[in-house]
Amino acid sequence: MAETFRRFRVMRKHPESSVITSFHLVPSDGGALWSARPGQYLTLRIPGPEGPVLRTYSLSNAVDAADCHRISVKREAGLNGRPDGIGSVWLHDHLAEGAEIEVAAPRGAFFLDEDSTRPVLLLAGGVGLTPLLSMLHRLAQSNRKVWLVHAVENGGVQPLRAEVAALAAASAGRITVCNVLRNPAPGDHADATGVVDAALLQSLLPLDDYQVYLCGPVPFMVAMWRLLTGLGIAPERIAYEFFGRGGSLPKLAADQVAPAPPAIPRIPVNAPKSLGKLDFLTDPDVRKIAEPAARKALPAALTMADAETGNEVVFARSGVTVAWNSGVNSILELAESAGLDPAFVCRSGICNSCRCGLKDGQVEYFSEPLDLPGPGQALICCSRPNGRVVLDL
Amino acid sequence: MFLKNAWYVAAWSSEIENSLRQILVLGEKICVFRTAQGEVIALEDACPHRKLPLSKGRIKGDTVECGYHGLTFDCAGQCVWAPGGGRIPSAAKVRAYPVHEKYGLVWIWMGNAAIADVDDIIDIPNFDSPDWGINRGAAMELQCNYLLMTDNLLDPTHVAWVHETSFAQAATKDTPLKVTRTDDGVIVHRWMMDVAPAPFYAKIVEFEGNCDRLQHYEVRYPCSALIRAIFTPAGTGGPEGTLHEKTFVMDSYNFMTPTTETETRYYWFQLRNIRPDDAELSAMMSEDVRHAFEEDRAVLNAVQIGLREKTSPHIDLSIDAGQLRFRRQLEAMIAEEQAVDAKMQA
Repeated sequence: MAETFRRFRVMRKHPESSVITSFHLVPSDGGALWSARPGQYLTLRIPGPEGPVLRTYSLSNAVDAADCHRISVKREAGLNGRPDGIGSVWLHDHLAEGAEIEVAAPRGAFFLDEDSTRPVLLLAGGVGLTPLLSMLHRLAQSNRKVWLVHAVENGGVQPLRAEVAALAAASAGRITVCNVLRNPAPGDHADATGVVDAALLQSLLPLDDYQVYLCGPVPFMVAMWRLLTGLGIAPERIAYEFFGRGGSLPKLAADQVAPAPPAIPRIPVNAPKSLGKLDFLTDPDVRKIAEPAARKALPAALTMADAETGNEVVFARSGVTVAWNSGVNSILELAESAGLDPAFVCRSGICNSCRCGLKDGQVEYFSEPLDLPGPGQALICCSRPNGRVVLDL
Repeated sequence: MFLKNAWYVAAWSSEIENSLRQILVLGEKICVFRTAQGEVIALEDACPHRKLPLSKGRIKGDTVECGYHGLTFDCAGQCVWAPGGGRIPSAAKVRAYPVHEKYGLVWIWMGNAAIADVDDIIDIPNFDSPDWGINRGAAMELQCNYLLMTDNLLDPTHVAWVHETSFAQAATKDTPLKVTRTDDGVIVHRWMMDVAPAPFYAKIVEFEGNCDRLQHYEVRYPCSALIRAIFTPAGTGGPEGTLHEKTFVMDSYNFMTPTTETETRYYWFQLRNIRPDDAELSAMMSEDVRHAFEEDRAVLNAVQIGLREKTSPHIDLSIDAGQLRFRRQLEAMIAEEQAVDAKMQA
């Protein structure tokens, strides 16, 4: 059974690049560090303007390090009027050395398969390096051959480059690192410039049966998925993780109708600065869709496509009964789609904010809660009905 | 037929004060007012007792008092006082519409309040940018169905005949149009290369000589439109053009609110990327645009009558492809919505 939140102290806070800062965390009570698998993440409880929020950050150091857990966080400042990232900005601006924060045990299914002996390709975009670096630390102790490709904008924003280089230098040629800088600044050293493409991978990697670990921004991952599968790498050989809201990479890659990114520059090169927010303004055709997408708005519970599964949820206190349907993932989403407004915070089975009375029936947990609720209770953010369920909600 | 689950413009923000007023949206009579705290409230304009419009009553603090027997309603539409003593009948309430102020406009959600999301209000990238000037339009009453106006705004061709003295030039007659369906509407556009700027724009653009001109006519479901004009020195435009530091862009935003099946209230404003603080330019553009829209109004009001009284079928031309695609998809969306409503009521 997983442990709940513990308090950790920031032993050290230091910048890794112009936008990324590492936090070294040690248990406040002097107890043992968590045990984790390389690639897993910690969950931090962070004060937000509307109450605490939970944010997850990959461990970026060796999971068997004796002194601390380390996370390396990119400050996600809001662009174009979007709000700042609540978690990352708070960590950067407010969490000082010596301060304490609540942390839940390492979780996550994206971790290094240590039973495999295949050569490894670690493919990182920007701050997506962090879980892969933790894997690299473990791989450095193995006999496997490793290629780490790190795609970044320029040297100024690239984190942890010296640490990666040191692991490679000590590996007697077993670890190969390729730093790909999209727009190198003067003085930057790049192993390659531009984007990671088929020619680069083919020149770098001998023909072999690789296990790939992929992490980075969504557009990067979609492009890499296409590239890797296009080179004949089997989807089951590609493990990946989204930061924040995830999804299915094969589906994302397939969803985008256009086979290649548009040849039209997003902003024409000589356009006045005032046009910077107008995307693709010279060629509206770029926005073409094959068929009009099903529009947003109608909640799944109200659409015609209710699956005839016999599963339904009675929200007893609200007097609403809603059939289960495939348009929602959890009972919480089902309730929201029916116009109810249940309490929630983490939406991932960690915080218990959504716990409510289970008056009748059974729910099925599709994701294991941190603490299983007691009898007669349910966590609705990570469960589905099994038959007819009556909730005190 | 209207799409209900959508944000419509109810009024300019400046039109709603701390006094009761009746507006008409999608044929529904709505009582609107601004509370002392400045919040805009929209309630069904009929007291549940004898159906006197609440707009004929009075504001009492943050409540509305019916002018017939004093039934009093809070901002959520719930009756909080009724004459006769005793409990307030549970049926004593009026519908409250979600409203939100943005871009100097009051937006109202006409469908299921549970799915109203203010993030679905149209995004206007440069509305508050110091680099962009704005000329605020007014509101205009059209005696026609709102879809005649969405037709008009997907129709660059009419410019050559309706706006001969303002937006037109020879190329607006014959350069082919490209129709693009997007996930939230339809765009009809064309580049006209190496042409003299049209009269309205010739007064504004800041370069000499011929231009490449983009007409981008875009309508989003159900009835918001972006009409974008780009004028850039000849040779710098086109789909793969590099543009130029003097490139002029005008984004004209247009919102049609159906008041009834045969009447529409039309709102607009224009954003431009040059001389943002030039009040004289704003005034001139406002005047010219208003003049052009009066030309549209005269045509559309007459088309409404012409179509109503037609004794033989009307015909569609190739230039109508964008409008027809738009109408077809909107009809499908309305049908889907009505089917869901019927199911929920069953």
